[in-house]
Amino acid sequence: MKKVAIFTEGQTELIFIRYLAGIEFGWDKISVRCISLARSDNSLAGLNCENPQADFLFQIIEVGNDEGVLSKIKELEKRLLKSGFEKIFGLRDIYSEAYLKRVGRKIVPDIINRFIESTMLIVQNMSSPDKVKFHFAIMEVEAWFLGICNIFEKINTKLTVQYIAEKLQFNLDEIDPQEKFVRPSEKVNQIFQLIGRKYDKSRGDVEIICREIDRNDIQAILESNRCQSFKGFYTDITSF
Amino acid sequence: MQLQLITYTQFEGQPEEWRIKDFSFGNINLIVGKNATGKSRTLNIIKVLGNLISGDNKLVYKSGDYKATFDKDGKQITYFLRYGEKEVIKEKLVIGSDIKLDRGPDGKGTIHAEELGHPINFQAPLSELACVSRRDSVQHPFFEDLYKWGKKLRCYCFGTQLGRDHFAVFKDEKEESEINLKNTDQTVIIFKKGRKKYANEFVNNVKNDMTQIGFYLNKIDIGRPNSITFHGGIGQPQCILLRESDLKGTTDQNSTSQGMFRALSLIIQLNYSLLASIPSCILVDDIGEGLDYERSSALIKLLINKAKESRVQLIMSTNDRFVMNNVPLEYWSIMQRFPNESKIYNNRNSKKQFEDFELTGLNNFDFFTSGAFEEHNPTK
Repeated sequence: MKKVAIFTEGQTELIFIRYLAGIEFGWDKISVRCISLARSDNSLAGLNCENPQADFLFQIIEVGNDEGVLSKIKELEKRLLKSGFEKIFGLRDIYSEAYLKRVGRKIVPDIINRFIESTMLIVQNMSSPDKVKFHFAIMEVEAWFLGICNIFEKINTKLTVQYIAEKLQFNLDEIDPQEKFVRPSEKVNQIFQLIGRKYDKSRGDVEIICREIDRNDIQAILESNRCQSFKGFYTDITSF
Repeated sequence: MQLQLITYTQFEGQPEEWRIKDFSFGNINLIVGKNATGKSRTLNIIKVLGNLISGDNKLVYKSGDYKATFDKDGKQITYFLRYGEKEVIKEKLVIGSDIKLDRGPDGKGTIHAEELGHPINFQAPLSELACVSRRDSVQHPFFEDLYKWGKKLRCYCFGTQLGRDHFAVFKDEKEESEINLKNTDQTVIIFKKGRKKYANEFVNNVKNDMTQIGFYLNKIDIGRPNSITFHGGIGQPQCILLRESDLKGTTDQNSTSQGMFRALSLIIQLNYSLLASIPSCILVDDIGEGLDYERSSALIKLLINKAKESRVQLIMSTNDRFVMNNVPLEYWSIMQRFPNESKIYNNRNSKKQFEDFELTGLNNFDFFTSGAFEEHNPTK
């Protein structure tokens, strides 16, 4: 069984990766082990899929804070590789306290690149940099949800791209969410509010979105000009 | 004899009720948990039990109900003790399936008489434990194991001064007195006695152990403190003096770092105890407190090795992540707090969770923070 360890900032990324693994590799071919280092109630164990016959093990670990993702990988890199994990991935949002402190609520590509470069420098200095892949969702992983334009229509038929455009003045077919929205999760919340719901990154909210994603949606976003940060992540996570 | 299992309740039925149930122990144990989960309290109830059954402490406690099971060469010894308002309510000793002592709230009961070959009636004062007041190696030799276990129990609170604030005045060099090894503030006296009784073996053991944890000492001695002046006619107080390998001068215990002195004191006391008589059980609360990462790790390794070599049961507690990361999960018992109760998770009662986590490649501390030791509860 091939094993990979993936460190995420929060449960939104964790749940998304879990579904992505299921879609891309097939649920019958994977085992999923979810661990939260941010909460001590073992509640994410409900997301585990144990399959001794699986070809791949995805061990997804919620670290609980943005900066902690890289630190945790650095701390555990050798130990994990020694334990038989072939690759280690990190995924975090660019939108963070550190980013806000630097530039406020603006998208500044230079600063984003500096965030990425400084992280990659640390990765390059790890003991096995070829086995560690670190990715940023720009600005948040919700940008990737917004990049799957028709996902909201699947949740509620009322939420067509056109309806969202009329009500919220942005057309998901025409924009690149990673370049347009500094806080994509707020936009997802606005969309949810159109049907009397709210989106606050709770497990239930994220599940509602992720369970509607299928292979065609992934293909569509890959073939579009949207969400380059997702494409990089997708390429690495599906080719270890 | 080794402590195997303990169940304890105090203030049953009252708002202050607290209990632990079936806390099982191995040879080496590390109790981990957040603050106020009952780690120190657990060590304390073991210490109190030891002091009560050895007669070192009088029954001064308001409430307690013990069931302690010991293993003696494969034989199970179970001791029950319930008391309230300084009086024994119930006391019972069962060895294998034989009831050796059974006593009720009026102090009356039966006790097996070895030479007669059958139980006899007795009545003990309510404030006294029968296993202490009726100790008799001819008629009731079965109390001896309990007594020795309690007498040889050692408890060190690593988060305390461990004698750093205690100097010693020696009035008469020839005068020999017994040391109470349960008093952990007597570092100076114990070092002096250890050096006199065991000479170089003791001093070298202490120095070697200190080297192992990263404190390099050329000399350990006793003498007048060089950082404090005393006035008055109480004699000349003596303290521990150290010559560190990278320093020219001598450092007295008052000027030594707190972490270093705690380590030194623990090592002095342990080495003396191990040479004088093998302890039954060593309790160390807040192990590693005040030490840096490398030294706390090295101290833990040293203690575990000593316990293994001398077959002493070791029960430590901590909430320090460095310590947790350096002690294998097989030795862990995680304590979790619930109203009126502390629950325990270890590889004896939560084997699957412990084994599964070892496959994750994460640090031991992550096992603690993730709550992965708990069985998944879908209702959460």
